[in-house]
Amino acid sequence: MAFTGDMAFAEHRVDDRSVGGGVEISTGTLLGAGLRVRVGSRATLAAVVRSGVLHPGPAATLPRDVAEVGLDGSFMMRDWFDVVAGVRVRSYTTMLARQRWTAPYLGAAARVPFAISGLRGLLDAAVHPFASVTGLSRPEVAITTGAGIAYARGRLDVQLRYALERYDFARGTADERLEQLATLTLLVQARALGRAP
Amino acid sequence: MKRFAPFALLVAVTAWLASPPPAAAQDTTAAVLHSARSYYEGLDFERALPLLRQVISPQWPFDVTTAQRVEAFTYMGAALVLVGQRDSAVSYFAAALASDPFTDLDPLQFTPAQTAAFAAARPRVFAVAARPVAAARADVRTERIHFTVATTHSAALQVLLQPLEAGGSPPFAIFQGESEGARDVAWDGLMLDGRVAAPGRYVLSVVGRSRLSARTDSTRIFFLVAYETITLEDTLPDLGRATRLRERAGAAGASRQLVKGGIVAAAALLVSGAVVNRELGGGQRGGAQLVAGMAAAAGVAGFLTLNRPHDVPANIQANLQREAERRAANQAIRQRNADRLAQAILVITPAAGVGP
Repeated sequence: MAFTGDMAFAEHRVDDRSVGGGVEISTGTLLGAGLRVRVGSRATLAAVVRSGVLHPGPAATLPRDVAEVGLDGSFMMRDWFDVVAGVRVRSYTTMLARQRWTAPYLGAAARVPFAISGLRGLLDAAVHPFASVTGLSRPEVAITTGAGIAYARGRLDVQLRYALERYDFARGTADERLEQLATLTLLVQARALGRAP
Repeated sequence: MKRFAPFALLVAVTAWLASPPPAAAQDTTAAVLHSARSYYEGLDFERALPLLRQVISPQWPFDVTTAQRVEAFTYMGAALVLVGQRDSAVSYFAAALASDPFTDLDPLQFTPAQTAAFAAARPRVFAVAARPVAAARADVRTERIHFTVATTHSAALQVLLQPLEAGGSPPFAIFQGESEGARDVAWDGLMLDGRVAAPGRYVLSVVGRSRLSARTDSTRIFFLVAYETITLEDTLPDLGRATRLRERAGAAGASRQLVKGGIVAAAALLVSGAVVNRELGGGQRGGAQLVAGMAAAAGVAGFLTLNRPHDVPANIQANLQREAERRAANQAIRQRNADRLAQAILVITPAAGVGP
């Protein structure tokens, strides 16, 4: 079992063509915490919560409160390769409205070990085929990709990961909406009991 | 005048054919000695003695071998004994001994008075001699190599053997003790260290010191030692640099670290560059570049870590084992060679001297 804490520098971009206001850019810091548990010799379950505020940038007018709950699972197929699946429930809240995202995902993650003990690279990609967003149809493109670098020493594991979530709704229509969330996350994981998950 | 020409030619040819052929010098000496011996055996000493004196005279124009000179001295002494000139006889016998210490009188051919005179001559002269080595082959396990040495009378005798090759062992005695007259000295073919004599040139030195007059004399003979058709195995050469496994090296896969770092870095840049929605732009490229840079640095660090030379225990162990195996193999080869050498047949041939 391990506890995680993370801090993400996020940049959110959205272009709602139906409104025609251009690309709204919001940036902010998200803080998160989680619990990871190893199940058997190969599987890992993790629960994470994350929250923060995205401050408005160009073309944006209102700050967005972000809250997220995630349940992540992974199954180790090889020493270096996992199949991952889970679900993320996220809400964007402004003074005027709240939007909830429910995004199950299925993907793969790879670990790239380096010669320096404990140092490894991280690669992952996932699709969100059943993502749903209140007030919107299912996105036609819903993917998350990431790359990072991690270093483990003793009970601690530190990761720096860059990730990009991309959602394209109703492409080519008058209701087209493009969203993108880029994060640079610094995560610290502390192993409390047993082996590192 | 023309009438006598055929007759003159006939006379000349007849004279040429009748004339004795020109004899070689030694043939002449041998012929004179033969005549002298015939006169001696016919007790015609009046004719034998002048012929013998001619042969030993410095004015004798023909070559005289040592054996011929010794024979002349001996018959001179023997004849003079029979004509009552014993002192002169002893002198000639002494001269014969000085020329060849192996000289002796056969009691079956000479009278007791002659042998007594010869015995009286022995103390007057001191010399040592060694017979030239006869060509021979000897299995040193069962046979000996024989040398014949002689002193004219009782002496402390030392027979030394020494290899003349550079770095050869010092001389060592194969006989040391009292000796009188001719003596057979046997050599077992071994050196001081017990090894069979190596092929090469050897010198046999004979050194004697008279027990009667304290005079010393020495002589030496040379001979060659060879092995009869013996094939020795070559020992294995030392492990050369080219054949040794590297004991210090960078670990395998160093370059793969660079590739790994490159893959992660490229993935970060690809995500921010290709996956990003171009219509929205942005995508925190700075964050992607930071991750890419760290991944590249991780690859370089991994490369440097693995590429740093370090001991390769497996190779060190393998080299030690190969060296041990090679030492064992060479020891076995040396043992087999030593066994073959111990069974070697020595071939002895006379040699002319120190030179090649």
